[in-house]
Amino acid sequence: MYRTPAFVTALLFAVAALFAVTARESARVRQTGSGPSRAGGAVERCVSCHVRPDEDPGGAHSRAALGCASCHLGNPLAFDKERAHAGMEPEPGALSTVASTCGRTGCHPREAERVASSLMARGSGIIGVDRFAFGEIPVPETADTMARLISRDRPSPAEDHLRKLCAGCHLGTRRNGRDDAIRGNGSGCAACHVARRTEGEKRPHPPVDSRIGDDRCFGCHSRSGRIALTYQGLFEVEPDQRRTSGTETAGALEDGRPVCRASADVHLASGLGCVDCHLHTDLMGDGTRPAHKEQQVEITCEACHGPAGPDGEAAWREGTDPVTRDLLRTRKESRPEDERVRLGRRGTPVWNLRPSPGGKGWVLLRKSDGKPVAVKPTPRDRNHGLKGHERLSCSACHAAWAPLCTTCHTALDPAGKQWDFSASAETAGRWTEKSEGFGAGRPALGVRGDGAIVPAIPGMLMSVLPAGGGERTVRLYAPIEPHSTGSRARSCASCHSREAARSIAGELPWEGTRTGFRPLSAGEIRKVSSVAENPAFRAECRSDRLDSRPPTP
Amino acid sequence: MDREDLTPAAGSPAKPSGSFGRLSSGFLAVSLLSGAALVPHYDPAAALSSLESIASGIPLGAFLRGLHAWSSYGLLLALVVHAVEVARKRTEGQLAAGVWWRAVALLPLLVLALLGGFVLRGDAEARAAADVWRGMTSSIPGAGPPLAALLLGGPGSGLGAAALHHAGTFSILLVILTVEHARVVWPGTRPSVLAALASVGAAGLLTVPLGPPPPGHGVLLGPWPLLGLQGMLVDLPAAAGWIVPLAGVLLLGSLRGAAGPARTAALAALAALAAGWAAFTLRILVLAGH
Amino acid sequence: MSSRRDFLGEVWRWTGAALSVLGLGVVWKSLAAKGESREVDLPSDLVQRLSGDGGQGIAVGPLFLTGTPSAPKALSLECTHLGCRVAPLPSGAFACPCHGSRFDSEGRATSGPARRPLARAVLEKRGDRWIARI
Repeated sequence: MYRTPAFVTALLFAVAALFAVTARESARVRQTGSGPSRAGGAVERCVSCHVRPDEDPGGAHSRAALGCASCHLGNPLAFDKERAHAGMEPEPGALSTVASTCGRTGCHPREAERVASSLMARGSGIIGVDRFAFGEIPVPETADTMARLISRDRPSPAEDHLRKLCAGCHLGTRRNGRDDAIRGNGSGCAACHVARRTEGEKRPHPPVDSRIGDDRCFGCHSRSGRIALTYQGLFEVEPDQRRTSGTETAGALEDGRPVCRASADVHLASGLGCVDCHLHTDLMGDGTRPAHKEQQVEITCEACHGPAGPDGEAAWREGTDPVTRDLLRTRKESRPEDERVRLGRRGTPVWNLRPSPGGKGWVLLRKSDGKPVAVKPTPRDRNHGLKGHERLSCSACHAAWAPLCTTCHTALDPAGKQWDFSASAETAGRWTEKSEGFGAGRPALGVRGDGAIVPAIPGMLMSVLPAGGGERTVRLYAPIEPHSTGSRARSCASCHSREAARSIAGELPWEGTRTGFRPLSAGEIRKVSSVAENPAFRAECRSDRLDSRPPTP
Repeated sequence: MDREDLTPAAGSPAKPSGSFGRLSSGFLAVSLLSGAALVPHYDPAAALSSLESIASGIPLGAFLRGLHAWSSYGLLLALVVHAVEVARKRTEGQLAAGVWWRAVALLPLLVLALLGGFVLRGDAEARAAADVWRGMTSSIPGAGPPLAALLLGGPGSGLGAAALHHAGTFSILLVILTVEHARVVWPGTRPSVLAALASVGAAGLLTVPLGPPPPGHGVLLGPWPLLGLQGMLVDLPAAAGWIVPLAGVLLLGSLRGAAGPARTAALAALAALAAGWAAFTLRILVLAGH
Repeated sequence: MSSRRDFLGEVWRWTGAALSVLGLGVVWKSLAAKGESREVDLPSDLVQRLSGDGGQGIAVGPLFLTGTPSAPKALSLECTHLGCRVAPLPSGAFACPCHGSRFDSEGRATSGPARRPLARAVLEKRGDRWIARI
């Protein structure tokens, strides 16, 4: 055993190994970064290599405080790139791994859980309405979620439609390299809390914070009900329509959709952005599983403008919402326990609404910079106490306009291909939507299940042509808060004439996109129009303070 | 222990019982020296982090760790072959009964030392191995829980106890028992050089795994010499975890003084045990999806 | 003379044996002194996160919390086979990574070598904190 051949073999083996060791050693020296090896008090070797200033999100999530692996996972102990990057999360905040990233213990576990059950993540509303429109379910309600829908093996026609046209806005859908208006921010938490990355070669780490600009809402909410467009005073038109409409054009959106200009929301003019009014529960949910958006949204006009109902106001000491308290703590604020605070519909404090320093009325603080904006209280005048108007929502009168889509033909081209958000790839079948014109005008009014009268717009006026199935024509109206609030309400005459009364009911007959949502009945229409014949009407209507301009455009 | 144990039973000076015994001494020397070189870089309180540092943070750290790991595996292989060699040449009679049994104890001691080294990695697989080691030892009737505490510290304690036993207790016992039955303190030049060359070769050309297992694997694998035991524990009662290794050691020990059919039976049982061990190694690898 | 030396030898030997037994006893006693049950402090914000509607529970160290914030339940994640830490699965079940035992969402052993169910920790409320004893 200890003879020359064994020795020579082992020697050759060892010499070969020494060459390998030398090569490995020089690679190691090249790979080992020269930066620090700790971040936030823990070993974090990512920052040894990732030392460029533009790789730091800064703020509370700065590289020095959290390192990289807290959000991006991987192996922070490893020195070499391959081992360090194993198991990395390219899209921190994605809902599939959020429990280990943003939602880890000690960071934002409660928020992560709430978001997962919120409507933006579940998408139950749009799924229910779409499947109802396709005739797949008898009522527009479902407990189904986008997460379940996109993992289903054999999607129904509506599910395929949703996966290709709607799932992109679902918070759980990963970005997967798409840099468009919808997915540019990422998914999950990052969809809102991470600013859009800049295009091109250099991609500095965007800041991660709670200052949510309207642009982050715009990508998704400029579609369907288009409230983000409406808020800015923009409405979408067809490309050939722009030349003929005669209204002021406003160019095209980033995704190429041409738009025209109408009046912007009065809140925009006061410098308020989406998150200044919307509470954290409106956006991230409160742990309940709402079926439609109006069940998730807590904020009401009355919360700011009054009159607040018996459950609409409390002292801070009575508020128990722990998230709001955390929120104030992170903003290094505390409120006096006996200070009054207005509440959302489910009792969440509107924390940035404060009694005005003068002691009369309220001011709303802008979340981005803390600047106070004075809130005008609802006047206690005759127009707001008109008999017979008790069931009207604020926006039934104050919504200046809403986007209107007259027809939409939805068809499936089985030979085509289209990006499928569930597969993150193009799959067989292409859905096309062909409209005969978009417009903007006074929204119709519909009656909610609880009797309230609210604006209604065509939600889905469409003919559906799923492959193989026959054509199906539906006319659905959706209740909406258009976000085109004017300080002046619509004029009396815009409802109370025979012509107007018929037109405010919408294009009858229609079905609501909610259980119980219905058009005005014939009796109700008759009652509205008969007001015009009442001699007292002209005397009582104070039209000078109302918006008597023709609807825009 | 009687002094008489130290004198050879046959009376005449002992003949070396085979070259693999000397090779294992060589591997033991390489393993001890490379292990000592790793000591300043290892921190039981930050096991994985310090091992990552050894693996690619310090100059030639990966090579040093490879040298330690492969020389130790070489020691195990050489020791097993040495045992086969002894059984084949029937040279166990050259040792007094006490010395023979203590020499046999080298095998389980070495496996415990290797298991200790595996546990010291501090990654997910190492933690699971430590849990099973503790669970297994605790299940031994009577002496179980105190023995587990002796080897691994109390429940919830860190890797300190395992590290001290690995570098201290087990190493010292391995050296004493090796020297006792070989009756030489220093391994010869040739075996040491051969063991060193083989270890250097393996350390340079092969990497020793570390860190979290790749995602998607449902099963965490223990150290390779013990995979057979891990496989057995999937299908056999938990007591098999200590009964089977104990049976193996007793069967090996009983070879001394056994002759004729008894020796054949013991050898057959040992062969069956080795085959079963191999089969259960395959079983756990299949379960782990390899 | 010889018998006296023999006798002394015997005395030495018996004393040595007695000392060995005594030494072992001391070591045994010191090792057996480890407490049988451990207490785990459950952060109240973790308990508050329990949804109680059969949603995913929360792993806290060696425990898995389910139930509601007012009546939490805690299962030990220590496999009853040989003590590996079992992993909660999305289905609510638990899988042991060492020898493949499976437990259902209630902790009952369903397959693999484990026979006994996962241990239930005793939960006790002290002030606004929950303490789990395992």
